[in-house]
Amino acid sequence: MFSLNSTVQPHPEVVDTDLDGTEVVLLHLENKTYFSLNVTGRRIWKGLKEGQSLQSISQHLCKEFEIDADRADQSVLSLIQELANHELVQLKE
Amino acid sequence: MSLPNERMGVEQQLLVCCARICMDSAHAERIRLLLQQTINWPFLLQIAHYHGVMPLLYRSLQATCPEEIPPATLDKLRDSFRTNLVRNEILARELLTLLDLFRAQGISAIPFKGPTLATSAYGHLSLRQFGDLDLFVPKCDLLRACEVLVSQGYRVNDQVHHRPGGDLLRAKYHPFVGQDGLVRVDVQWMIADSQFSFHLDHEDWRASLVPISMTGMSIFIFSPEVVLLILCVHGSKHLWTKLQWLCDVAELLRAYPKLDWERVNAYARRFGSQRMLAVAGLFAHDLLGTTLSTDVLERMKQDKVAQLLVGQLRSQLFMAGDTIPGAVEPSFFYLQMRERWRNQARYVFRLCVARDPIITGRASRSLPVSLTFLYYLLWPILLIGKYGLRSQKLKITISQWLERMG
Repeated sequence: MFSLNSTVQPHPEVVDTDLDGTEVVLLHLENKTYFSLNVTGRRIWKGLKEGQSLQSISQHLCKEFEIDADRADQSVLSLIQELANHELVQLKE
Repeated sequence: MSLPNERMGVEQQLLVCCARICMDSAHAERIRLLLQQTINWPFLLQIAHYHGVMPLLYRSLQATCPEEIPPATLDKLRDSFRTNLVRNEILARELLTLLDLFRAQGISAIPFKGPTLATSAYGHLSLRQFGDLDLFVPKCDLLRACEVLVSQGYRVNDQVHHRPGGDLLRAKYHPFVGQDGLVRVDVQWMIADSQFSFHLDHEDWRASLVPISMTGMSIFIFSPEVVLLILCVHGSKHLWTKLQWLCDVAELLRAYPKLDWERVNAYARRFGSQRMLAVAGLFAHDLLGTTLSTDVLERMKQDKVAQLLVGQLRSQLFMAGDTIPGAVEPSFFYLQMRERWRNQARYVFRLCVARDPIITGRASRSLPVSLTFLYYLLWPILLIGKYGLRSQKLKITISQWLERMG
């Protein structure tokens, strides 16, 4: 389980490619699986790559997508959990 | 400005308009006009896939007028674009891994077409469809290169080539497939079949290498001048039956506006590929509106045979699989593609050899009907070449042949 205090980073075997500026495709080079992120997911992924904390990413979501803090927190945590389930992210040591 | 005309179906016109990286206003307007007509979307997707331009179709429609595309079709195109992107990323990463392994073993391997062409000419891995990795390896490194692939779990792709007991160094193409079946690698020590006389010697290819950055890594590829000729030979070999091959030429010329044409022409002269170059340039200019400088275009237009061939190729581009009255016969086309009589004569001689199952031990390839007589003239010479003038086998073969002829 992740919390907003967790520090998460992209898995080193994952590469990402932007698709039309509206979607980002994540590819796990080891197990050859891929995952597609929508606009919100793309913003969360960008934050992870920049080394932002989950708390900070959630605050950016609130501002950019004009959503309330609870919903932003929930979006961030549920996506991170799903990415972790597919080994696309890992806890930063 | 060249725009696709009404002699093509509406879907084919749409495909040609979309088959480009840089959308100009004239083609964008033509796309909007074409979309006012009834479009057979499944057919359009089918031909886009066949012609290897699905990514360009998606990108151009998405950029021009996505609101005119049925949502289900746009979803299909997007899925296809995404899948192509992922596959290309996997192939590009695998290419980098293999190049590292070859380098560690002191093996020179130069990638061409595939991901390097997508990166250098199209500007992005996602924009070109390809299914394998093509690697040029000098003959002296061939065995070791194959060993490296085998050590990485690759096996010879028997479905493509199977030469039991064949001499490894005689074969020009060595297709391998990775353990997971996803990655196919073609190792070759010649760029094209010998009939195309395209032989880069050691100094040629070493001197023509240029660095590019692919997925953040620097690798060496052939210079755009050499790549252009490789594309011309490749397209000619396949009779330019796929739009993608023309797009490759068009995008390469777009990406390298300062191409050294003197060098291109010097190579083309040396390899006897000037007509192949003219056909490629004129076809891309005619169909896709590729910009060529006046002197380059005029030079190409001076070759009247090239102009005739472009007309024939254009008329049959979208007729794959159909019976085409007056279609270009492959062997006739190959013959016409050579501007030197020496190359033409060599090609006819090879066809005669290939036609004879006694000489080749395999099924025959056909000569153009008008040249069939040459086979009968050359046949005795071929037999003597194989068996020797005084051999018993020669006498038996000739008497069997005479019996068959009644």
